[in-house]
Amino acid sequence: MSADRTTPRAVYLNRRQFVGAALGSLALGSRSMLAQGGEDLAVTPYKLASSYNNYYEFSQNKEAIKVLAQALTVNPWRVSISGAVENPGDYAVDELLSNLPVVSRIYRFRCVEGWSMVVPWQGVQLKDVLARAKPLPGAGFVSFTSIDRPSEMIGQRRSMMPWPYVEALRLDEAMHSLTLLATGMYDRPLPKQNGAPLRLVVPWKYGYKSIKAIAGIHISVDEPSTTWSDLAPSEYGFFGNVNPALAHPRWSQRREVRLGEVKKRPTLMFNGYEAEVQHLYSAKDITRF
Amino acid sequence: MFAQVPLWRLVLGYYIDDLGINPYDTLIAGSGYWAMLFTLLSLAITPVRRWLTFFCARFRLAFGKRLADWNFIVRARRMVGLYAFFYAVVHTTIYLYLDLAFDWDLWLEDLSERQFLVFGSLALLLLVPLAITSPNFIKRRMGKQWRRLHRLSYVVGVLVIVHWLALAKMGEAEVFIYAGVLTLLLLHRCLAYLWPRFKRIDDDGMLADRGQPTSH
Repeated sequence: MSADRTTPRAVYLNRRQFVGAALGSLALGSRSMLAQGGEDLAVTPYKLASSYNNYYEFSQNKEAIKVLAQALTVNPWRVSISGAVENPGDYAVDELLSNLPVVSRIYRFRCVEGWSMVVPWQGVQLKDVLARAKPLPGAGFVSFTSIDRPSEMIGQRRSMMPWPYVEALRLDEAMHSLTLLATGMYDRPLPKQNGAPLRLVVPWKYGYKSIKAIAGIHISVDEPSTTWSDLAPSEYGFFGNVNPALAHPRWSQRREVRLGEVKKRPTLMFNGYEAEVQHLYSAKDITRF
Repeated sequence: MFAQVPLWRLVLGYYIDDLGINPYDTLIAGSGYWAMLFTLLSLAITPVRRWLTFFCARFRLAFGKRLADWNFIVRARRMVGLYAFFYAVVHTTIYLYLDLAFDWDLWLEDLSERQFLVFGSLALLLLVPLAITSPNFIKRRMGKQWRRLHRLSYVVGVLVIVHWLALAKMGEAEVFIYAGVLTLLLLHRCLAYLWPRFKRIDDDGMLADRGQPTSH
C-alpha cells in the first residue's frame, strides 16, 4: 500500500470549529475521545502551526520564536552533502532540489512535550536527494546539521547547548518514502520559525528529530551523535520514535493535546504510521528511546 | 476578593478562546502557579509579620512597631490557605479531566511513570485535612493539636516546589525564584526555632486571630 498522502485540496477547519468539536466531545462523554483509534487528518489552522514553535536557537518561549526568527537570512542558503557518497557537493537549495518530484503530504506532527498538530507539507522525498548523492555500500546513517549563527539566532548567544543542532536517521529511515525534506507548508514557503529554507519531516518520530534550517547532510558508516541524545540521554535517544508505551519522565507519551483543542487525545504508536514503518524496527529497537 | 481574579481569567479565556495556542497548557500552568503562590503566601505571613515589626521598630515608624499592628495579615491567612487549596483542586481537576478523562488506571500508570505527579498528589492530599480543619469552631475544639496539624503546611510548600522542579524543562528558571523564596521562609522558621535571639516570646501568632491583646 502506498504511503503517499498526496491529497486534493485539504480541509482547513477554523479554530472555533475545533473548540466546538472539543466541547461537543465533552458532551459525548470522555470515554469516546480516548477510544478513538482511527485518525482524522483535520488540518491544524495555519495560524497555530506557525505561531507555536520549539526553536531554541531563537528562544525557549514558543510564541516569541515567530518574531525572533525573522532575523534569519534564508537567501542565499547553501547545503553541503558530504561523507560516504559518490557525489558529494555544495548546493544552493534550489539546485539541490532541482528536477526532483515535488510532493504534497499531510502529516501528523507530534512533539515530545505532548502537543501535536496536523500539517500539510510541500517538499521532496529525502530518498530522491540521497539517490542523487549515491551513498556508498556500507553507509548506514544520515546526519543533518543546522547552522551556528548567533548574529541572527539570538538564542545561540547563551551557551545553553552545543550549536549547531544536529540530528540523524538510520539510512533505511532516511530512504523511507514518508521522510521529506520540506520547503513549504500550507502551500506557502516555509515560515522562518518553522524551519526555512529547508527542514526534515519524519512524521513517525517526535518533532525534535525533524531538524530545521538544514545546512549540511552527512552520510556515515557509524551511528552519529545527535544533540538531544547527547544532552539528556535518559530522555532522548537516537530513534525518537513516537511510542506511547515508552515513558518519559516529564511528559506522558500516551496522550497528546492537538493544537486548537483542549482535551487530550491518545497518542498512536509511531504517530499513526505503524503500518508504514513498523518493519524497520526490531523488538529491541522499540525499547529504546 | 482579588484572589478569584486568576480563576475567572482562566474561565473567561476558555470561553473567548483567549487561552493561547495550547489552552491545556495555559490552564494547567496557570492554576498550578496560583496554587503555588497562595501556598507560599500562607507560609510567608508569620515571617513577614515579624520582619515588618522589626523594620518599623528599627526605623521608629509611627505605626507597625508592635506585632499586634500586623494582626490583620494573620487573619487573612485562612483565606490565603483556602485559596491555595482551591487552586490546587482546580489544577488537579483540569489534569484529571482534560488529560486523563477520569481514567483511574491511566492515573496510576502516570504516577508510576512520572514522579512529579506523586509529589503533586501528596501535596493535594495533605491540603485536605488543612482545609477541613480551617474553620474557627474546629480550631477551638482541637486546641494544641490544630497547630501541630497545620505545620503540615511546610511539607506542602516543599512538595509543591519539588513538584514544579521535577517537571520543569531545562532552561526554565522561574521555578528557582520561588524555590529561593520558599527556602528563605523555611530558613526563617528554622532560625526562629533554634535561636532564642530570633524567638519572639511575646506572641506566637495564635492570639492574633482571636483579637486578644498580646503581652507586648
